[in-house]
Amino acid sequence: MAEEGRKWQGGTDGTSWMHRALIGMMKVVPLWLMYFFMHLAVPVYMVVNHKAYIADYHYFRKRHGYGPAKAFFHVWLNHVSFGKVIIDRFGAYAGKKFRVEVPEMPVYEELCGRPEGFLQVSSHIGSDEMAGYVLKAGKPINALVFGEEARTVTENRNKMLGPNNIRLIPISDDMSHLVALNNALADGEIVNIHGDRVFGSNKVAEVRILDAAAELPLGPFILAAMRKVPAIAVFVMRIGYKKYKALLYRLDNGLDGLDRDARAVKMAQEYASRVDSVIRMYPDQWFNFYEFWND
Amino acid sequence: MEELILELKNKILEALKLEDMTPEDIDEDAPLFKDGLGLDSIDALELMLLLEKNYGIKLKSPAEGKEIFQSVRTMAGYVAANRVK
Repeated sequence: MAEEGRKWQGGTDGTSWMHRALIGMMKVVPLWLMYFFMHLAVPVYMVVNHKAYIADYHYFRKRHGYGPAKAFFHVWLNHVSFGKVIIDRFGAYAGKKFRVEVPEMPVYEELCGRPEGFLQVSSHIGSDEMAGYVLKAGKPINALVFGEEARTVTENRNKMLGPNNIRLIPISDDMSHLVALNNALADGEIVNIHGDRVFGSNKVAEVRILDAAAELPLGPFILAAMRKVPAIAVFVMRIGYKKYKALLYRLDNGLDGLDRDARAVKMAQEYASRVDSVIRMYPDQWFNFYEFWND
Repeated sequence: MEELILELKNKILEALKLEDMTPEDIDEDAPLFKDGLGLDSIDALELMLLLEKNYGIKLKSPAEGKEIFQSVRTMAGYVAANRVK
């Protein structure tokens, strides 16, 4: 069972007026200059947000086996990568353009062409929000988001994502989000849920990521198994200045003959193995800044 | 109504795999979530699927879930009023 202390309630730092000021500034200031200022702020952030720093240091020390100096350097790099992804996000709100490669676009288009809906599992790795700007499904995408997110971020996401037929569904105490997600899949639409944060239910899948035990929420995978719809994992990685690459993986292969619960667990394990391979390729784009692993 | 309440209790036990419980263990007026039966969000999804498969009911608006799933009795009332099979 997941411990309360390891659960995470999301939200972008800063107040609404700060976000508005940032978006306004980014209409005139080039990205590279914003990156420069961000580099100066990162060491301060590392000191102030000490818990996140420690968790991140453990990630590089224990999971990647780096020595103390290398781990410290990568904590800094990781924060810089995170800063760039956040600046790019606000840059997108301010109208800046990004190039996103999607090598597996035919896989996505084939799924979108089917009458049934599907589950799209995203992660706090790279920039999942960029996926919303490039993956045009031709049918509605219902993205589950944490209710704690700042209003400015939600408003701008809606402005950016609305034309791409993306609806943001905040997690709520009255289970309205569950009804919305269930109805969306029943209507042949797409549902997007983060697969790397335990919330709502304490039912978890025990998995191994980077050779250590971790827990993933079982809810998203049970939803897909329950409604017998396909599932894919989507990771959008920053690969350069204004450049991203979307990695797509089917999670529902080899499920024939399994009962519903076993199908959900197998999809969670497949997702875990994809998370594992992606963060081995891009260790500095892991943005779960809390003690994610069981140890 | 009492017959439908008993039917729903049996279907809930089956859907949620509560094998060590009997219909008598469920108070039809007790909350289904948190303090009562202690169900969680995944169980809520099961209940929605139960209504869809057995009674042809798809909840119309996201906001009504909380009212319908207050207790077995509120569920039964909703089923009686909205079932299509």
